[in-house]
Amino acid sequence: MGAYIVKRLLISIPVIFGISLITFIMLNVIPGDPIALMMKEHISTDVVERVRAQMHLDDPAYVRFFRFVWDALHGDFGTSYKLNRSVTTLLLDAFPNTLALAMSGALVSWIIGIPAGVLSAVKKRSFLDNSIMGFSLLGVSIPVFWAGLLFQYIFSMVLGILPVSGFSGPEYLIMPAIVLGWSSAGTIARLTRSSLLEVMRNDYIRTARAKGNLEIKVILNHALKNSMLPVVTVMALQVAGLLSGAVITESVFGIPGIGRIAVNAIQSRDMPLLQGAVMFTTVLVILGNLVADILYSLIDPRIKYD
Amino acid sequence: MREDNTILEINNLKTYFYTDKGVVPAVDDVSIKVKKGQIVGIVGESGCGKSMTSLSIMQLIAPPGKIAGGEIRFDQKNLVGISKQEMRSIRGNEISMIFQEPMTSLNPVYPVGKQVAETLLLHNANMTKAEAKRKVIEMFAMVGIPEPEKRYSVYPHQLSGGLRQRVMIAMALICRSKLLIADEPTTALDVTIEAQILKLMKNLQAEIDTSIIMITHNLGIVAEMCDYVYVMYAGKIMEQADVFDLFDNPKHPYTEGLLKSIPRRDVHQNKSKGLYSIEGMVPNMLQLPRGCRFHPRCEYAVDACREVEPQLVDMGNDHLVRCIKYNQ
Repeated sequence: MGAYIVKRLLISIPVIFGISLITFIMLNVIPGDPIALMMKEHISTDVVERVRAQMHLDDPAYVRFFRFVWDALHGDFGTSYKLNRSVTTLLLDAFPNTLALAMSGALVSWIIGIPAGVLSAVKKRSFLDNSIMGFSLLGVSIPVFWAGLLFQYIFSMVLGILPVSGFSGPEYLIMPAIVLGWSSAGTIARLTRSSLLEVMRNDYIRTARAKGNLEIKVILNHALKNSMLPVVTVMALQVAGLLSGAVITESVFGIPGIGRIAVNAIQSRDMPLLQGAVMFTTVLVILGNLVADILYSLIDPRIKYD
Repeated sequence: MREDNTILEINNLKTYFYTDKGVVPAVDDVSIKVKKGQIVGIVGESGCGKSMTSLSIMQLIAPPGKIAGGEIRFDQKNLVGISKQEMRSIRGNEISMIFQEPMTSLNPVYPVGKQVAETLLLHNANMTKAEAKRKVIEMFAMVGIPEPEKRYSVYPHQLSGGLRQRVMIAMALICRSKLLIADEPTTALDVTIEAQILKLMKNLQAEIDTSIIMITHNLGIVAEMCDYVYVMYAGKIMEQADVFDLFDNPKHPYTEGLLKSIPRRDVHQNKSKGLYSIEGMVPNMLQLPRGCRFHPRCEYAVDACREVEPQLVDMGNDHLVRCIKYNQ
């Protein structure tokens, strides 16, 4: 297992390098000049040129790319153009907020999604099943920003029980977590349902029944663990995705996390910050995949990595 | 009066599947009797209702299937219509089952020993886990699993098909069931392993004093193992007899056909004709032929076969046959 993890981490090096190259190219191709955005139009071209030279923006692209790689290897992702602070510090400061939001959102989606999917599968083609599947379709289809606004209206404006936005206490997390969790709860419920129904057709389920097990035990002890493989994949990637910033949710609820940093960085063409945020996301997604694969082998003894 | 030594008596069992396309009479008016310590065979082609009969006894018929009539008397008690809870206390405890596919009948994510221990713990509320483990290891040794203690904690995929079927047998007999239903237990195994498993079952049957219902399409296994045989076709019993009587003196054309289809060393085979086979195939259960269900494939069919469904006729000596030839 240890050797496998090391191998996987080594394989991810070229992936990270490739993504940093693609991001760099894209950032250089998109229109918009960070200096011009910083200075507005009433500054002489003289000053613009001097600042550009100071920031080494007049170097050829490949020089700048390799300088970025070299610095990144030393843990330095540069300084934000706009905020004039170290990118690493900015990201690390924002990460706890994103982590809190992501984990609570993911938890909400698991706590709702998995039991809902199990119920649906057990009561297949019943009114309950149809209702749950209807709700999860709603969850999947309703855009997060709209659900966010709706929740804000109901719970903050009408009922006045939860704060509208901001991030200065656990109660600020409730609404965003539910909004975020609801949308992925739908995906998880549907996946759990279909996977469980698939597993229930297996011979060993008949064996479990033939032993004299209660049906609920057949489902929870014998079927559920087997049906969790595809669900775990989605969950691990979901967490990785959420950790790299629930961009819209963070914006709607004014949570200072990775997602908001990325959005602001795009708006101000803050290239080092954006590049840093993308690299951060890349690493999280790669780790998420690795965690999913490790969880596989814990769930299913047939899966061994060596 | 019912004889005392009867462990299972099925009377006029009907298991029907209510599908969108119509009603499928998978088991149609079947009566079977199993005596204590007896090995009873149920033979027939795929899809003739053998497995459905066994799943009916276990009450494990899944919707849209349903037991539509008849009674299943196990140890004097009718199982049809008893509470789910009562049935659960019988399943795995007094009646147990082994299945055709040892490769897929064990849960891949749990160690095999734990799966066998589960049955024991389910039916013995006061047993400790350590005690269950000890009993499972004993049982593993009894069914001929080498290094039983080591095998307790391995996963199904680490065992061969033969060993997995031994685990299944251990699971089925761990509670010393009074009745073991073996649904094609050796079909998925190599011939050499098959012989070992059959021998094991026969030995255990004597040792534990259980009765066995042996479901198979292999008449060789019937000859080897069974005391009494039922021949099933399209959901109905076509012939039933003592095993020697059936092989020496088959009455039903279907039984005759099955016996002729066995490759034999002593009978000279006509090379150009090859092995004998019964023409045609099992009828669509949604559109059963009128009259005798076997008549489209029967060499002796006469007009009357297409009209009336024949009844089981007692030929004496516990030999019954469902054919118009014997109806007079």
